[in-house]
Amino acid sequence: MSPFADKKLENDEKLFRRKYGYKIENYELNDNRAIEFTVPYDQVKINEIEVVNCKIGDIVSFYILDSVNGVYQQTLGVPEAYITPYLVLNRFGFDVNMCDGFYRDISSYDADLLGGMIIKIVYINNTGTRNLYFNTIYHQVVPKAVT
Amino acid sequence: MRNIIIGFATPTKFKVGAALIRWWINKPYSHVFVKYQDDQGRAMVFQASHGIVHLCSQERFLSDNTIIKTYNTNISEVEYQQFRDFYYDKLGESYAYLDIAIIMMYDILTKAINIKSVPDAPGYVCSSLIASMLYNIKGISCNKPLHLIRPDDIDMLLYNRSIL
Repeated sequence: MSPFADKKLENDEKLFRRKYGYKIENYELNDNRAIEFTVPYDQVKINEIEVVNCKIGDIVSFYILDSVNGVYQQTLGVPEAYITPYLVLNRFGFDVNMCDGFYRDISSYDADLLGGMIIKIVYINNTGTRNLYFNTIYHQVVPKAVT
Repeated sequence: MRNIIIGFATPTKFKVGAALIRWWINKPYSHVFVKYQDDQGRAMVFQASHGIVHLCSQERFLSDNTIIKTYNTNISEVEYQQFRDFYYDKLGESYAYLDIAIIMMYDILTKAINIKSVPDAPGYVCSSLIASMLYNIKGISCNKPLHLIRPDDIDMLLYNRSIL
């Protein structure tokens, strides 16, 4: 069963699907840069990411980082003086093998992210210079409107 | 393989609590922490301190603390991911201030009437956090309930194992 079977959450919050595309031109052979996507909404759920124009032989790792001001650490109550910008919260992709053309990574459960947190993708290009395209699919959590 | 460091430290400035712990355990340190290099190449410290389990930069840590001694160990990539999962799971847990008193009570009662079991408080002190991490990542444990482990117990454990 999809984690998004119903767009309405238990506390009357609603989910709205927001899909964003990114393009990197002339991503060179042997490039292994970090590509970072900043969560553009206060609260989202994610379970899916897409890579277009990838090739067999290319390798990808995925990480989740806290925001520059440590929004996640703030919610935990970490003292301000000890908040670390861009703290690596976890890794969820380990040298993932790409396929030719179109790669979609979809999980059967979702992850909650807060505004400003970063999805970091390290794409190792072992196969040749080309344009790369990424799609991130956010499910924005929207509170019930105040009447 | 990656390298992590289990370190023992004490505050640079005088603090009553740290001084009391140093006196109680009869060691020049009052605190135990883990230092590691994160996925962005930054030197980071994982610790229970300042009321909460958290991570901070080595630079931030050294602005308040003096390192007394360290043990190095290598961990595999699998163990490193276990460590990531561990710190992600424990981040934000409260500091178990009450466990400091319970440890002292335990030490006294054990010597006086050989009591082996006392209650614990929610959360972690520095030593129970690092002991829990060592158990979860390396499968090694002190011969003591988690909440009663002192920094010098971890020092002794690592010394006796000539670090893992």
